[in-house]
Amino acid sequence: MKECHQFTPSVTRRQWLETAGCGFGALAFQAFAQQISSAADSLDGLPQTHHAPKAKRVIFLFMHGGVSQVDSFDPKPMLKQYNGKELPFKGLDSLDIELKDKAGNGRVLDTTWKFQQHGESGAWISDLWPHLAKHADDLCFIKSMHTRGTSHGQAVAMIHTGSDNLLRPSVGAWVSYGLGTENQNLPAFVSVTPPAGHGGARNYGSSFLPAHHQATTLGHSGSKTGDVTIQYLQNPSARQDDQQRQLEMLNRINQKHFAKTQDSQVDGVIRSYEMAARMQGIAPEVIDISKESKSIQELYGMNRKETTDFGHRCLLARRFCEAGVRYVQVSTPYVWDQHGGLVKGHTKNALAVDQPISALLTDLKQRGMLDDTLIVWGTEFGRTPVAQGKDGRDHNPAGFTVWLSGAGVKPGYSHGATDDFGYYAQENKVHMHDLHATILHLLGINHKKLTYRYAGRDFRLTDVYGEVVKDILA
Amino acid sequence: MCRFAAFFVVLTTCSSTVYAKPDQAAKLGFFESKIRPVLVKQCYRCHSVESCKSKGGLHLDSRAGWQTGGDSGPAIVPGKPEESFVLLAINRSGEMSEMPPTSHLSSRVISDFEKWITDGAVDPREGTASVREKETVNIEEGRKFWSFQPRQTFPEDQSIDGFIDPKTPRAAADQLVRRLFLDLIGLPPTLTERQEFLRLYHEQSPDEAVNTFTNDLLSRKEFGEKWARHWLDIARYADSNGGDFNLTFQEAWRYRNYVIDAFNRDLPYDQFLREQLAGDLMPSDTIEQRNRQLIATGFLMVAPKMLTERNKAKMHLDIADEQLDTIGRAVMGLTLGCARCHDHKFDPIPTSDYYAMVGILHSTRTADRVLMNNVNVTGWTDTDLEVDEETQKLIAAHQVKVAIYEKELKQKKQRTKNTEKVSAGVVVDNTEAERTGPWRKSTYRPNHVGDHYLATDKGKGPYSIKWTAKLPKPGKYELRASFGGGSGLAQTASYEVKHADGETKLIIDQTTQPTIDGLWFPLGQFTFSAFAEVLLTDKQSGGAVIADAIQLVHVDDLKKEQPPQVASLSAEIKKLEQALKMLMANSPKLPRAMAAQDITNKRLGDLHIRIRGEAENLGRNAPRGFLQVASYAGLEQANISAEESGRLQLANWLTHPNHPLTARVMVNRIWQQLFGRGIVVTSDNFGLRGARPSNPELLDFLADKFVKNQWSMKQLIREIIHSQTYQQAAQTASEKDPDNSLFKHQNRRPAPAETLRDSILAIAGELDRESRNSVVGPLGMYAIETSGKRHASLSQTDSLRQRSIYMPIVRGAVPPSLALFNLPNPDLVTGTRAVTTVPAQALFMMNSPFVRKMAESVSAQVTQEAQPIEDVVQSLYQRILIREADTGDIALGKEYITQLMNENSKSRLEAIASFVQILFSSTEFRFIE
Repeated sequence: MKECHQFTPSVTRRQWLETAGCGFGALAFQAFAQQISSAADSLDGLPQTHHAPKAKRVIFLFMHGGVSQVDSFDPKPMLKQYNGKELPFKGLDSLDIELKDKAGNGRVLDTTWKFQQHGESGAWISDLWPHLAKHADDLCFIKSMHTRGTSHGQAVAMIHTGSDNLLRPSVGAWVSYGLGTENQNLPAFVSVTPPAGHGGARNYGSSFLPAHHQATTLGHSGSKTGDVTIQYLQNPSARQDDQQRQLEMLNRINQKHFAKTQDSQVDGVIRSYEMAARMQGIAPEVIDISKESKSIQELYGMNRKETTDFGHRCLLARRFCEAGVRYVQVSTPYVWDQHGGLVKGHTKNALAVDQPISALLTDLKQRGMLDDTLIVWGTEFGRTPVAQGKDGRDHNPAGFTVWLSGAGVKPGYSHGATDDFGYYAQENKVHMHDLHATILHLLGINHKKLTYRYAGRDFRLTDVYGEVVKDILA
Repeated sequence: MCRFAAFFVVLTTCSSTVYAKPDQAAKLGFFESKIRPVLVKQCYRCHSVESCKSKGGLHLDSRAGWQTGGDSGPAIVPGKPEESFVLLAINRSGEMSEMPPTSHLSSRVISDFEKWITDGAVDPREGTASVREKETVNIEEGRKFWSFQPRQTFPEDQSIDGFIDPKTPRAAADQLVRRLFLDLIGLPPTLTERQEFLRLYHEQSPDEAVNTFTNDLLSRKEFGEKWARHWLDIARYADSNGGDFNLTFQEAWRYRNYVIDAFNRDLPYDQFLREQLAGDLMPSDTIEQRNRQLIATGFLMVAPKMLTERNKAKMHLDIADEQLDTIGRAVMGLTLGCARCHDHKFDPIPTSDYYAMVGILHSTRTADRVLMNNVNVTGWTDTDLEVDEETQKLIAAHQVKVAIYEKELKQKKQRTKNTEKVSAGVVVDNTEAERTGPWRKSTYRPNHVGDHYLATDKGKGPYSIKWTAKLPKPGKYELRASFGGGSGLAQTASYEVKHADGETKLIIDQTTQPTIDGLWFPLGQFTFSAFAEVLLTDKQSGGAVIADAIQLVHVDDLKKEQPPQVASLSAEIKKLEQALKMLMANSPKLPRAMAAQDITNKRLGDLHIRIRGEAENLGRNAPRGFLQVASYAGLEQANISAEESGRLQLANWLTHPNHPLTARVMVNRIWQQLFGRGIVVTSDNFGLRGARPSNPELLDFLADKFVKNQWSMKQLIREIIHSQTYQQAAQTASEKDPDNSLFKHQNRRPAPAETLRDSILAIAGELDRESRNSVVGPLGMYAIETSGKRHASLSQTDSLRQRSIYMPIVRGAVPPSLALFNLPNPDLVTGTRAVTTVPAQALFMMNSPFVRKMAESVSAQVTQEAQPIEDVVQSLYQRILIREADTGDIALGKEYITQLMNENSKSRLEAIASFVQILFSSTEFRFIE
């Protein structure tokens, strides 16, 4: 065994699986699926974690392109004072030439949006995010993020895999590897409309981890809502009873082969057909949001053109979580990169996601799921407080904001700070590696102990870095 | 170490003589009160003997610790704060790793450190012998490891079976013929081929059957199409970049076809390697050979690259790193990349060896072109291939023709310009006009005067602009305005003209195309005295108002203005431009390849070691050379001159008959293809952390024979297939040897992705056996756009019918029919594919239109024959599972098909198709026995 897994799957689950994998004959398709689904719910034997987990699952909301912190959550009065004037210190190297004056500082650009304090916590949120502002007391901001990579390619790889250039397993794949799935009929890691550019598949890939840890994807960032589904999940031309008969015969023929060979590989394939049949029974139901009430659909903004796409994706995330998926990523298309047209661009992008994200928080809370679900809202980097052109900002990996919510993090809390201009993370800096370490920690995993032996050495998500951000833990 | 020793002496001298005692006491006091507590609290956790940690190789719990310093050298230089890394780290200068990693020290503490260092860094801490012995890789010791040892040699009469002593009887004829076909060409035998094999097997002998068919299959082009794919796994081949910027590799197919061709021609493996690493530097006799060698270097080029990395020095290091790591794993089974940041933790590979080799690749031109006129985006340059004389002539003739056209065009344009100059009249550009409102500069419409024109933005007005022209003489002038013209503009732009007779208001439709020289629109003729004033406002506009320039031409000059030739000139120009466009569109194509070359700029040369692998953190120079531990008898010096990369020397070093690893690694790969398991099970890792050979003598025997047979891959394959060991029946592994590492039976192996897909196509009679050149032609510059937009063809790969090796391998969109069945991620070197059994594969077999369609095609073939169902089932078993169905099989098949027809009211065609799908999905079909 190459795999040096830190966890042992529970005996109960294995026993259960042995009894569950008894073939197709006995039960009708749908009933079978339901039975297994409810059996899965009652499974108490999660794999052993390093410590007691606070979160059972994670929803990672990825804003692709770089959301501006100084226009969203990190107000800086100095921007007003210096608007149009030269930044009084040196800006980042390797940013676009045109942005720089001779001294390399750039000219400050004030924000267009009004900031206000919200909730009892008094969190500063700009009017770019009116819906989210209502959840101020649920959010835990990290305003001192920094990361590697001034270009999207590097920074997107960094946030997804912990490496800016080398091919590494994605966060979700590590979680799947570390915790396995909560529901044997569904994969542990699902990525809804993953980014197609800037690394594409590697952002949800398993790299050297066993292939089944990679995400099951629904569509890609360019997909229309209707195309957001799992590939080959259904056979459009076969009736259910036809297919059941076919699977029964396949099983009989395969069992003959197994009887002859007594080979566990053959048995593995037989089981994969059984699991596929169960997944086929369950997943379409999970994906089918038409059964959600009208009020829920409207909560997510599915009745409005601007919010329907992302609302649909967020609703899918909740449904996957309910069904036992460990790690669900929902991504926006690559739209946040406002080198120019900041006002128009950020307005449009925030409009598309603000209500759906807020709805997700409301919905999870109503269902009591926010207690054991961790939500991470993030972007590959922030944007500069200095202007690019008249109405734009360049990439800023040196200081930006992410927020978390739900299981195990302090609600209504803000951690760390950037300098007076929102350029460099300054106080209680949190590197992307630290964020990864913290996510794993909340799931009950010690990031230093979750390792995988590949090409002669032990790899981990955080490489040789990463410190859990203890201050934000509830 | 030297540096430390010398320094230490100086320091002791200083402390005993220069510093007066009272001063010293104060300094000690300062250290004790200000410095030591900080060190203890902030630094010891990672930099002390007690914590057992010395991150970055640095100890800070003794004077000697910082004097010796870590990876970057002494950490504190007394009296020189600016050279003291500790200070640079804590004040977060950006030149060093920022320390402490999780908190900032206050500015007071930082100034304390600065003062302390300036004052000589007095430090009484004697420190246990915590001075780190610089660990060095012991090369001599390292050479004792099995894989670096010279190969053993064996007497001529040895054989594979002699080493293995196979214990299992020969496989049944049907199993053997299927295995032979799938292993050698990745396609199942046809009914006739099977019959012929069985005939030879029973009438002549099993050996005769195997020999005959082995020779036959090895000579088919399908052999290369099967075996090249294994090398493409190792070469992390793809038709697009992936990475951060998924550009299409339009020319990568040439490399893919080169590999297929190499296998089919049985190109000696050493030559195959040399061509891939340094083909561009090798002599050639013919144009064809020259081109082939150029194309071979695609091996270095097809890697995924981070093309938008803004730190280009880092990017070039990353690219060279990837290439070296690939060469290491592919050719030597070593993870050289591990030595980039520090000496290899397990294998005897010092960082200096890494930089000696990576310098060779760093001197190679891989990605050196600025793309999209953006210095942040890097591309590669395709290399022109040589063409025969005839094509050369054609191209030359074409170039001459183009040159003639271009010259004529240039002349005509110049003449037009000259003619126009006469009539320019008075022109006032927007830059000289007075304006109010936030006019936006724009160059979107090319027909404008000066650098730019001005445009309004909706809702941001009011706007106004006033041009004032000083006229050479009073009189009647034609007034013209320039505003680009075209859709989206104001249809009611309001102009006011002040002239000698008063004021005239004009409403102009700016969507009109300008009539004069494609630039000017006449507003009318007016009489002016000394000045002309024109005011444009956005008062009545609809769309954007454009303000560029005005022109005033005296009426007397109007006749002169348009000498008849101008009109005819512009017509001629138009004609010429069209002709040129046609000419370019039909130009004879010069074939180009994605090929490597030596670089000629300053990157050519040795590299400095990068401490901790960071691009800017320079260590000592590492002269280009090879891996010391794998050097062998007969190795000369690297001998790389300043004017060359050294790739040819590297290639020659790797392919020397005495190289301890190259032949071993390759014979192991070939063995693995035929048994599903290598003699060394970690086929890409022959290092300390890799597996040991389960039969070292056999490995050396095969390697030695391989080299002696001119590195012939076909010869090696033939030899293995002829062995009893290969021909044993497949069995389930015993408990005694669960991995079957001793090869006492054949392994039951899952059929690879390509074999599954190609077999299904072949059995259905739908396989298109033609070779393919580029299969990504329809894709544009981007294989997948960053926005996620992708060409429709990428999601329709299920409808393709060519052999799998010719499928488009776009990074991020590998065809699911292959990716699901473990076609490896093309970003990584993969000598051993993952074996997974996941529900997604089952879903594909159950639900994909591809499998259903193929099942229908098979059904259509067998239902035409009006046979009883029993015979149909028999025929399906022969076609699909390559064996006779037994009575039980036939009974099951018949039961199923009949029930579907009777109870589920399926047609005979549908019912049989459904059964075919079952056989395609069956475990028996998915394994090679």
